Amino acid sequence: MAKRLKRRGTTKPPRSSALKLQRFPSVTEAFGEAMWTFIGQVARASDPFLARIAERGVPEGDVLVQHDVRGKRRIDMQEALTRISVPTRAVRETSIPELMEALVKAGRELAGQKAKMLVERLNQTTSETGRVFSGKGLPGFEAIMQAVEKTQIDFDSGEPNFAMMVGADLYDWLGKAIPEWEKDPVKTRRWHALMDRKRRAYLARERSRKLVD
Amino acid sequence: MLGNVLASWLTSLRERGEFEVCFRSLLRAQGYVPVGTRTTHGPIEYGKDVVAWHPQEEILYLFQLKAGDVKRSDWPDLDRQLYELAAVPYDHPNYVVDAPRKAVLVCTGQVDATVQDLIAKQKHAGRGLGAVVVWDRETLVKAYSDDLFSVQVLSEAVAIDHIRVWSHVADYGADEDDLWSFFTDYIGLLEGAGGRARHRILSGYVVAVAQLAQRYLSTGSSYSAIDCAILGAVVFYGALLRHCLSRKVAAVYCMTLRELLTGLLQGLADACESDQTALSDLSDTRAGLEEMFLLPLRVHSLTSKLSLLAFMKEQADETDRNTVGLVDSIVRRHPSFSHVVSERQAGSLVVTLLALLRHGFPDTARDAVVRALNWVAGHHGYPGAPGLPDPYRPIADIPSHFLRPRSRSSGPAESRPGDSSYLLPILVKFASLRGQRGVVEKNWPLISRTTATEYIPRDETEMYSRRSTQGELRDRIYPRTQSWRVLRRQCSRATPTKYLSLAKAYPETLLLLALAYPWRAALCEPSFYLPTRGKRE
Repeated sequence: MAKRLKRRGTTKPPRSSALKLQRFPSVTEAFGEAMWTFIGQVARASDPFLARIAERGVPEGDVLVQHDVRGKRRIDMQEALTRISVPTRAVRETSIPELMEALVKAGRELAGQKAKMLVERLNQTTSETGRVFSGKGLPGFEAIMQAVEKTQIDFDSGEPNFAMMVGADLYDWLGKAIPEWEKDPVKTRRWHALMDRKRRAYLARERSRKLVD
Repeated sequence: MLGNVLASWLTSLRERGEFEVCFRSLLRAQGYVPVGTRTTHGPIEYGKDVVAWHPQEEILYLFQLKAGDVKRSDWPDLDRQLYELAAVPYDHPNYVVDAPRKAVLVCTGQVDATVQDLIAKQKHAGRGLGAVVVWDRETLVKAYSDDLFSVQVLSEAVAIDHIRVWSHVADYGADEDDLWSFFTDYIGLLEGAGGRARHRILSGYVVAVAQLAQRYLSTGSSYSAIDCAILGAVVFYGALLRHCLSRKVAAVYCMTLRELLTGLLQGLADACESDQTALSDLSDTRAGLEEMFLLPLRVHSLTSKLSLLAFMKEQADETDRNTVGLVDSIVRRHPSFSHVVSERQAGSLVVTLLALLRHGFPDTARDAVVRALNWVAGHHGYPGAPGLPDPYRPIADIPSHFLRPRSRSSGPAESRPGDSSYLLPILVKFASLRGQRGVVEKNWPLISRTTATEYIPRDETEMYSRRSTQGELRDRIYPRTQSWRVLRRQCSRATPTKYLSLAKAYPETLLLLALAYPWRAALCEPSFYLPTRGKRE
């Protein structure tokens, strides 16, 4: 019996001839998470346009399909890529500022790509839904009124909630024109009348939210 | 030494419900199939406490169990039981009645020589059993030792937790909290236990630590195995103090833990010895950018473990300058040793520096202190500095600590004189002890902006607790203008003797404490390990 007891030998820890490097998997995992969070924050902070848009995570899938009463609309995912590079020397010397610099650079690069993609997508979407207005040849105020007329505006907070994308020249021009329009009682009245119509339309939309037979 | 613990554990078991359960576990580990899960005791057991079928041998084993020694006075009862064991057949629907059988007397103690003689003379073979085999404590210790990592030797109260921890082991960094909870719950069984039960808990605990360390080894992580054993030892020391166990009671278990740890550390040192080229660059080429944080952790982990081995060998009267030579080589070749990324590295830093200073590598230690002090001051000493994660935070928090958007504009968070630090005062202490005035002077504007934080336990038991709800958390703001002489005097304080009762018996305990609970590193006073002072600048 003693012989049988002897045959099983697992007490001694196995000896390893070569040195294995310690890998710290919990730190590696945490690093990946922290790095992408950081890059995402940098991207949002570096572009005021992106910062105003709510973000939503995509846990799985490669396409988003929106269904509503008008049908369905497919939105394919687009990839934004960036390269993050830090010299080996910086890694060995624990140069954290160099790492941060590389990540900030990557975040800004991503922000540029995302903003470009967003503008393209907006152009495409607004063209499809008829929400693009070309103001060529029209007087400024009339152009704006027509553009707002075509826009669906919500009043969730009691105030009109809408944004317009305009070119840089028009943006500058509007900055000067709007204060002038505000001084004109006719224009002001027309604007308030438009906002009243939009508010009533919003309230009507909201009232129709009910389940019927 | 593990044999002594196993012997002590076996001796502490009662036959019913304790030894019987563990014995079945041993049988399963050895390929037997115990028949039924419950044994009927009493008049109808007919001498058979446990019956097991061995599929390979196709033999039915009939075991009569005895807890403790079998004395001459036990012979009449034993003779009857052995007779019944032999004469009364074992009926079970799944086994052939006339299958070959073997009778075994299993005893957790020793069998009196006269009884052995009587057993042999009774010629039970004549009753159709063949000779009765005796498994005494020595045989059982060998059996449990050989199958240590397959058998369940735990108290029922912690068995489920043990299985859970066992099955989830991944990496010490991720498992630390679970391990600590398990060890604490297990050793907590000592509350109210006395005599034999106390020995059973202590020996079972030590075996559980060895089993979990082995589990990490089997997953290829010798570092986690060592960290697990260190944590197990520190929780054990804490329990010794909390439950006021005598040194005599604790000695065998302390020695076994020391032996386990030394064995694991020696395995790592052997790997280093056999692969010295790998020591010249501990960078992991397969890792990504996270390597910036991993390399300092890796270097610290390896050097502190080798340093600990050197201390433990010294305790065993083995001189081993070679191991510290490896530490010296690693520290010199890796500037990242001084580039601490978390104050949690305080423990490994202290242990490594002490080993270098104690074993004749003062220059390497001094250089490392200068570099580390410059580095840490650079991370703490200016308004809005990122600081370092405090030692209580797990290493997994390191990346998120650094990778967070940080405003450079002044704000409420940056208006403080400086971040608090547990590590900076330790470095200042080492620098002042070694007379390195230059580096302290150079960094004083930065050091003096830092709040030095330290926990002062009320007694030794609190010192060995992981987080204490009592004691003093002391914030010390350095004066703007400091006297070098006063600073040196403050830094050269000796550890109060009220903290040293355990360390005097087992000098490695303070080092283990610093490694397991790095927030206690400041209590690992250099004066305890470095009685003589080195040269001054």
